[in-house]
Amino acid sequence: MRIFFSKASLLVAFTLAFLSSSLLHAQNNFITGYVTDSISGEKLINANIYINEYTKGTASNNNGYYTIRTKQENTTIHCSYIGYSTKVLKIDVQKDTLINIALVPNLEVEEVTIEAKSSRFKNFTIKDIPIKQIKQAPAMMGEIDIQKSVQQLPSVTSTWAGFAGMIVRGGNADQNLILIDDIPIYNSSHFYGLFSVINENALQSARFINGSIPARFGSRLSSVLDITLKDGNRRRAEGEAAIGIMSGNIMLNGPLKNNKTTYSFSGRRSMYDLAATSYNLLAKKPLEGSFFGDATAKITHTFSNRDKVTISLLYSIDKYYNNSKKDYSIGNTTGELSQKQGYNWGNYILSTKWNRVHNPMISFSNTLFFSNFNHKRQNKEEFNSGSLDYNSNVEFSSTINDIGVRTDWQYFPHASHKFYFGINHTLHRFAPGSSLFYDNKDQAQEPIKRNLGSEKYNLHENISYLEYDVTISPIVSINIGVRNTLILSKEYTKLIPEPRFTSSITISEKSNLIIYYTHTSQYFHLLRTSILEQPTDMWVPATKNFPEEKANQAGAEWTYVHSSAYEVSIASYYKSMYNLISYKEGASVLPNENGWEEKMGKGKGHSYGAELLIQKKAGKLTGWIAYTLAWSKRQFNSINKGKEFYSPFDKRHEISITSNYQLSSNWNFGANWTFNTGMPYSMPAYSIKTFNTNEAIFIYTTKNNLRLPAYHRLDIGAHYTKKHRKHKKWENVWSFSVYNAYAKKNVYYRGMWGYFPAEASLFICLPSISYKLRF
Amino acid sequence: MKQYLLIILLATIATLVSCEKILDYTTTQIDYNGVPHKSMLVVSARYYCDLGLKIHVDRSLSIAENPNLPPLAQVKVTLTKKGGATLFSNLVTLGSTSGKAFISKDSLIELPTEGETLILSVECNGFDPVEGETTIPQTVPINNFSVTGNESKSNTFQFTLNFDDPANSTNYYFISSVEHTFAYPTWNNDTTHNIQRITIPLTDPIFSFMPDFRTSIHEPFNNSIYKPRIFPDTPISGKSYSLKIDIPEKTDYQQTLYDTIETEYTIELFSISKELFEAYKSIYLAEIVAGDIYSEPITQYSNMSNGIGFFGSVSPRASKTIRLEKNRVLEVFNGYTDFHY
Repeated sequence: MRIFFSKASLLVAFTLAFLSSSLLHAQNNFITGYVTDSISGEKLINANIYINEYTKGTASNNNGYYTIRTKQENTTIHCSYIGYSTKVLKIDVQKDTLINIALVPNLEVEEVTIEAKSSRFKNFTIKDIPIKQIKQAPAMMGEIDIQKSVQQLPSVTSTWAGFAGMIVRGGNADQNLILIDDIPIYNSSHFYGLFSVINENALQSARFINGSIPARFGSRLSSVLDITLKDGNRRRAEGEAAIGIMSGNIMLNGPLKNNKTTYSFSGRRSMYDLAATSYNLLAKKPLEGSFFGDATAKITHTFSNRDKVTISLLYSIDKYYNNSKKDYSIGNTTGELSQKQGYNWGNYILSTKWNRVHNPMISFSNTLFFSNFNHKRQNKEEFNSGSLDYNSNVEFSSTINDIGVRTDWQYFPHASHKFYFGINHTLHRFAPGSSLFYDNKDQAQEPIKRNLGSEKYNLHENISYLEYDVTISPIVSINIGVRNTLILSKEYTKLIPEPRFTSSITISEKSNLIIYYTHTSQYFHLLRTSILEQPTDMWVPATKNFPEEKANQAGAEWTYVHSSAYEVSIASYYKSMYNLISYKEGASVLPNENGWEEKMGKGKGHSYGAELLIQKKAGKLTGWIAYTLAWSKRQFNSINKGKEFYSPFDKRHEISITSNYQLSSNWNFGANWTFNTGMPYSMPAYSIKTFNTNEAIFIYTTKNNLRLPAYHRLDIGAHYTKKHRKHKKWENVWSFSVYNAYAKKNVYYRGMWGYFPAEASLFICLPSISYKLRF
Repeated sequence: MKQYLLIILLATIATLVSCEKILDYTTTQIDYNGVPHKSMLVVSARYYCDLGLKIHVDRSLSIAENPNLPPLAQVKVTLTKKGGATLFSNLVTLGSTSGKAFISKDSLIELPTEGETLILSVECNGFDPVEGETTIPQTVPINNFSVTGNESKSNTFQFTLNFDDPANSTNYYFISSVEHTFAYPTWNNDTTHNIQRITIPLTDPIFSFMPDFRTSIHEPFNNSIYKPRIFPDTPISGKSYSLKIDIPEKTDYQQTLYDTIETEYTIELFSISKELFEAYKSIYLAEIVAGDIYSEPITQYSNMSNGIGFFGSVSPRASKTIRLEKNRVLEVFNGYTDFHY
């Protein structure tokens, strides 16, 4: 296999070199520019730009910049973007021409029927996430969550019902690359996994890739969620302040000096803990509660049409605390026992990026970034009396610090030929599962002091990638690329080539077929038990015993665009995964003396399925219907006696219906319905008495031998928007939602809890209300 | 404004009331999607070449059933050689409380030998008959047995047991120890003789094939008394190996009451079949993590068709005995003594 990939990489490189050599003499004129929002002046990412005469168009990049090349002197270009009126421009192109396109938001939500053009088809299986629509979707406890909106797409399912974690095409929760302004984030959820850390107010755009992942993305096996934060309004300062039952948040953005610099800030803090803490203090009860908060900030300075610098920050924190004091006796000694138990976890990302459009053919961005993910648990006890004092302290912590630099280039020598290439170096510094024990309870003995697994691992990730995107004919275009990663660590050095291939075949003006093959790798593992999903689950680097995870995926996606409003796509895939890791039978999350490797087993998996997506993108009623038919299996030598078993996330059927209805300029209604086959879980088949102790033990015969009952849920919501009486530019927005409206008691956990079978259901009908002031 | 306040109030009340039911947790009345439980025979059987067949028969229970049902009274046991003669076939009465029975090797029509495969069938009214098979492992003799004081641990004997692992085969072992203590009191001629099977501390690295799982309710696995005294030949395949056993000196006899205290340790080395090795490993692991909510479920080993449990075999024992007086070696000899003095 290794030889195959080495040869494949050489072949890809050779093909790229051969094809590119024939392009350098092409004589065309460029049309370049930025696509922006006409009101705020903010960039629009992934807007479609195409020329009537050509079958293939282009899309604006993460800076809203586009380049398209034409041989025609009189050219008509079309620019479209979800939620905006399509703009059609007739241009006389005698030479390279700069055309900035300002799109007008489609406030009246009229259903405009535009004849479908094959040039609107994308070259990859990319789904643009409609930010405006997800902000109007019903949200659990009023917390609008991009990850939960992505879960409504086919191929994506939640880790646990109601949680923000994503499982894509039978993968694992750690196989999704979540990029915030191009920087990966490790922990993307708040409040034990229930809400995303990505504040909806900070979102500019998002796109989701699940199949044909281009070579510019990597380091995860299954999917990419590429999120861009708001630059800020270039015309005027604006903001929002909101309060709901779960949290309060504020967002401010606007221009600074000369409209060349913009800022954007959003912050959020949980609210319910304030009330709980106050009550506990007044009632003199132990202080127990959870807290979460996050902040994002971005400053963008535009030096010229060519140069732009941005500084982005994301910070998130979660805490659980339980502090108590009570009178306590040890033997005849009475004193005060104080106990402190706590978990905290969080991320921060800081990055600075310089974007430059060097000339119409070449643009690049250079990025320097820092990232941190950390979590810590602590159990501390102190007993104080006049004659006897003891204390014990158990700490468990794990951190990842990343520092990296990357440069990404785009070179468009011809309308039909595009190159993407770049290099990236990241130093990952892992400190997985270091633990500290201190105990002097036994006064007669020396205090117990232990420090387990405090070793730190450095892992250097060196990446280079090259993508060649060529339109071979009016019907066929190809994206071929390779991503090479050189992993360097104290005990593990490896060069990992990842060939990628995607071909887009235009069947008719209204339909398109994408076929692809991707080979992906990731160099980190998330240690997560099958019993609990915890935000404090450890990330660990690839090692000799547990090398990089690998996946091969092949698939096809057929898209039919009936009009600008209706679109249907059908996809199928087969994915095989290797070097997956999982806790061995009997292993627990508690730290052991010999480190995490002893507890883990290595195995493989495969998944396959078909997906249907019917979308209505325009009109008063918008939304989509998604259906997924999927299988996902695993095989580990150390689990289930080496026999294959269903992945915990194997859900045979999954249906989601997402809808939004704009009744008037004041009222907007939304409803989501979700159904899926129950998840597999393990339950003992029998109990027996053992021959040696004659005590009853529970016998598991096969892993994941049963399935939970089918899950279904309806969420409904309404938004009422009204202009402020005094300040005409201000708006009051009241949002009402009911999560699980028909109170289905969905089981989210079933299994043995100690010596007893147990089950739990979460969120049985949860109404919420929130208020937002836009100014 | 009043209407807003009313809406807020109603929504807040509804939210707070519903929050009472955010998590609904129950440990009873679980509907398992109608998965029926059909009770099966649970058989734990070991054929000892030295002794005969030790068998324990029970029934499986659904996890919701009361586990205190009486043991089964009688089962039909048939032992045959694969492709050969029936060695034993008869009704066997099980112990009224233990559910165990012992069939002496003398009851067999002929004795099976190394490398032969035995088939055990167990039948009981109301249950599907169950069947399992095992191949009798090869005996591995002890080459040498010696004792020294452990330099790093005072008051500890270190026994060294040397044996040759047979080449070109995968072998599994079980080790055990019997302690005899003989005390000669000062005031008369009676001798106090105490015999007990003792748990060997598993300090030799050969036992580290089992992972060091730490659980929330038991001690670290490495130090556990639950850890089985079994090991595979994976790290020593086809080689000579000197296994080290640390045993603390006997200290619970009061020296002042006795003139002499002699202790005899018999160390036994058995080859066991793969089935027995897998079964022991699986059962011990299940026992140590039982009740631990943080531990991953363990799928139990079974080689019994239509049932649960195992049928394994044990080679004739290879044993050496060492007699000590305090830290002075008196004698080392093959086998063991049932009676001394």
